Amino acid sequence: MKSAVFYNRSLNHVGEEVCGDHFQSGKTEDSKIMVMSDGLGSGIKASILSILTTKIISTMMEKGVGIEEVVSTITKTLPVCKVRGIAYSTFTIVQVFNDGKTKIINYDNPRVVVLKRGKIFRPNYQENTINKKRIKTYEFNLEDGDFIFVMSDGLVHAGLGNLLNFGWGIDDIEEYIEDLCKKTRDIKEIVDNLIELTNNYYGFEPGDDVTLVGIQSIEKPKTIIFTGPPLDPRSDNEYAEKFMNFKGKKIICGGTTGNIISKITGNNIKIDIEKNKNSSIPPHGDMDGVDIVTEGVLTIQAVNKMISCCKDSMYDIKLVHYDSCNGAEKMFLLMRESEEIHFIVGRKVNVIYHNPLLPFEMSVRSNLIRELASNLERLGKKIVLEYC
Amino acid sequence: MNLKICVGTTCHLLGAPSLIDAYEKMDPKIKKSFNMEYATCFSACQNQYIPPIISINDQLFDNVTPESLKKILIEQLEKGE
Repeated sequence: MKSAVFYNRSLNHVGEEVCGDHFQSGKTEDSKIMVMSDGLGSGIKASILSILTTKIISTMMEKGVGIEEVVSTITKTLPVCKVRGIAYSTFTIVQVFNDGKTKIINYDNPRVVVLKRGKIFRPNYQENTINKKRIKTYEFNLEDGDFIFVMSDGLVHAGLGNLLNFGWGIDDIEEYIEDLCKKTRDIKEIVDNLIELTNNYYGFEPGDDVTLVGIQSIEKPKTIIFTGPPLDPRSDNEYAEKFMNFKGKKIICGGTTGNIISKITGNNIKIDIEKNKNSSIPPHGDMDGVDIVTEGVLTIQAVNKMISCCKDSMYDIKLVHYDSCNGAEKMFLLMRESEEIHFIVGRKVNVIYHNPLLPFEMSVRSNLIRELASNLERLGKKIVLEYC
Repeated sequence: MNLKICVGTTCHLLGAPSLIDAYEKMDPKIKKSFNMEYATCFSACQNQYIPPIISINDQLFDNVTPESLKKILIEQLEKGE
């Protein structure tokens, strides 16, 4: 099953506290919806306009209203400046279905950039006038590794009056993206690169709000986490097999759990002393066939703490290099890249956890996992929990 | 000689980091005879051993402190000679 992952960044018009562009995502049972709007002007008024536009569109679509009806409603609602004849806010809607079918509707934003198999792709479109507004509709299939970039005109005009006489321009931006995608397939890296360059072209004083949304289609990424030994040691083999055969990232969370899997698979756990210096949580290690082996409850507590600081997205926490992260941070990053997270939670408890010498706030593993699962669901992840 | 320091949950909470620190600061003349590794849980704490726990050539030592660590290493070296 395909899944669209996205990453967006914005720059505020110089001197403004808020961005006049807004981005909103949503989902229906069989699709993901991404909406971007550029409010006329900049600052608080523009911000309110763009927020209203994206909220109305994404809410209507999530409630099952068809995209055509949504467009008809919003175009009736959107005012147009009587003096300049331009809309009070623009919008671009991208709807990606689970089978890869994609619909893009663009009103007054720059052309959407699409890359198919690394090459610029110009899908055919239909142009209609709805409630006096010219709307372009594109339909095509999004495949693994394809990219879509939605941007506000602040990006297209980057450098205007500064480093580039006529602004960056959509054609040059398209070519730049095509070249960049040869060097990296990481959507965050690509968007960050373009935003930084835009900021540079503006001399770090953007003359307009800038928003760039990068969308990538990938096979629905999944992660499985095995934490805690099964209550009945006779079922160790069964769960170890389930874990190792899982198609996705694999995390072992717990030393005893790691020992069980190590014994069954014959693969050793290697803990790199140098990589674990200066960590506030116990060290983590590697095992062949597994992405990471961490300690158990303290690591889960640390991950929970990070996730509870995330308001809307796991990208709220800035972590740079995976290799320099501790066990909890690596676990966080692996989960961030996944749409679906499976837990195998062993119910065997180490009796020493009740020792009064240990911190009183040490929660039982299953409580911590329940809290983690709930936080992850809040952030849009699908969770599958299995106890053993 | 193989020295393993357990870095599991309870050993970590009850002093493993200070053992690791003590080992790093130890006299190189003692350290050169040991190959030190971190180990994931010996499961010894469930069998009445008191954390933090280390093993030397698979022999377990419990309730280790930074002070007693040095003593244990020297004793093992002398036994081995």
